[in-house]
Amino acid sequence: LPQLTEDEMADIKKEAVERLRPYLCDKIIAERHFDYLRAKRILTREDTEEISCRTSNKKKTGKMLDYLAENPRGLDVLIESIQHGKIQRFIIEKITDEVQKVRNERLEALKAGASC
Amino acid sequence: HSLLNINDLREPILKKLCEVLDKTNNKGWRKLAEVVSDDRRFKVSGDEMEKCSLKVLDPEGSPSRSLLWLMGERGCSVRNLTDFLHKIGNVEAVQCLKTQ
Repeated sequence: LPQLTEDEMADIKKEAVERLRPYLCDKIIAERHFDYLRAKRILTREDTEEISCRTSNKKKTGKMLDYLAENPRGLDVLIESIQHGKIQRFIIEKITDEVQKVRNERLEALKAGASC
Repeated sequence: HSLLNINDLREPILKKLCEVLDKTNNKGWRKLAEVVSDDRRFKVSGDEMEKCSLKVLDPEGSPSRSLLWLMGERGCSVRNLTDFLHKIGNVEAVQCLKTQ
């Protein structure tokens, strides 16, 4: 059975976020997560200012996801922040299921590649 | 042996079983947890479900493995698990247990 590396895992998370982008932009209020993401050094003050410049919440969250995508720990810490907030925990199920889906696709592809 | 605790299953069997249950379909680990929770002995809480689901973020993590471990801790036997797997209609998973 093929094993996934940290790099592949980071790539899978990125892909899952891209697929969920419309959903996440709709559900997540970017500014609620600034404090947590800054405390964990995922966002800088400049990043949060840049995000806050956007006109709508959808655009703010979209920009925040762009920044998170640059960090391999980005999605993990966003999930922690959602847990921390204690509301909207249903989003975690949605994200982890999507990660699982992408992950299974990758594993299938790796397996197919290995048997060639 | 059908009274064997599921945590005492051989590693290759657990591995294969988790691979089958980690698939994202309506017969996967979430559905299993739902059916399992109808049985008071093994009830899985929302927090526990969330903990299981977060395992998918680790390269070697498996939500199914965490769920099975929880069930085993609560005394779930191979026979119990086989019944649950029949209930969710996961024939492939039932087959994994038959090869023990």
